[in-house]
Amino acid sequence: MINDKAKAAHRLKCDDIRELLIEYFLRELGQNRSDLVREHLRKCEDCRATAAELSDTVDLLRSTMHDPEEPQRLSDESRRRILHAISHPLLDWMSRHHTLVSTVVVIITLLVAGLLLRDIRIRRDLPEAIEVEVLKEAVITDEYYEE
Amino acid sequence: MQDKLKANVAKHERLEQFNAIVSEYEAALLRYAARLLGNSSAAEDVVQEAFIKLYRRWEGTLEPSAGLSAWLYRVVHNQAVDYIKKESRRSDAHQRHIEEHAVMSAPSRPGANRSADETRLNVRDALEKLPLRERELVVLKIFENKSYKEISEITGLTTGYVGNILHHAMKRLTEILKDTGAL
Ligand SMILES: [Zn+2]
Repeated sequence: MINDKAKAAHRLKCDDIRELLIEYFLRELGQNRSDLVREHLRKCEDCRATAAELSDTVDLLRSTMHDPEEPQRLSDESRRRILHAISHPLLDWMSRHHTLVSTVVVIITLLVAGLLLRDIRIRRDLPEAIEVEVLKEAVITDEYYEE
Repeated sequence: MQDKLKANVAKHERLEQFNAIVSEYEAALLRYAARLLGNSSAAEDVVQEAFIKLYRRWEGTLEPSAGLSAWLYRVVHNQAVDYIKKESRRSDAHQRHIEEHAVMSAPSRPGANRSADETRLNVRDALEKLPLRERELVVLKIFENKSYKEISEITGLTTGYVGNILHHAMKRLTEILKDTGAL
């Protein structure tokens, strides 16, 4: 049994082993493959050196895990903003998209103003046209009666 | 009347569950975002947004679970990507960010454990040299101790691919750390 494993470990190339090293260190490999890596490392000095380097990197990274300057909690300001956003979703949306909201407001104002102006012009033009027609008619009638 | 009362109670309960979720995950998410972005004030904004999205979009009960945790990490990742894109578009803001870093990188607090501070800065700089995807996997695996399966749930990558990227990232990190003399 042990002999079989030793043979399998030998058959795996160094490159294959190196690909498994992180998983080996982080205990993500199953029992079988873990044994294969261990067996290979026991015999192969090159892979052992690579493994040692990798393990140093992992240790170095993990030694910086607890940064005293890193915040552990959200600030009160952030909490306040979260609460505001979830209790007034519409107001929050508008304040985030204020450029869009103000553009839309301007467009709507312009449209309404345009419509109102057109309406005023039509109302002003309409009586004038009628008056001209009436005048023309009046002139014609006068001419008729004069004859 | 009765219905309104019920709705209020439900809303109140959801809010309480939400607060518990914030307390449960804020530290880990802040750490994760800060390491992705190399900037803790941006991390704060990103995490804040993620919690707001959670409240609005999470359809199930708000209780700590693997699914909910993966969802939060994923949202933080996406927000961080957006932030980085926005930041690189605003080049002067980007410049400011670099200057802030220069200030932060200056050896600080005489008498404090300087070598620990230096190591921390070396690691942070080395992480920043990795592409975002690689950095993300290193942070999740080495710092947050997530399993490949959890990482796969967070990133949507297959576990095999996670292993591949991580392998590359660690190799590159080792080289960078050796170059800067940290290793
Ligand atoms: Zn070997």
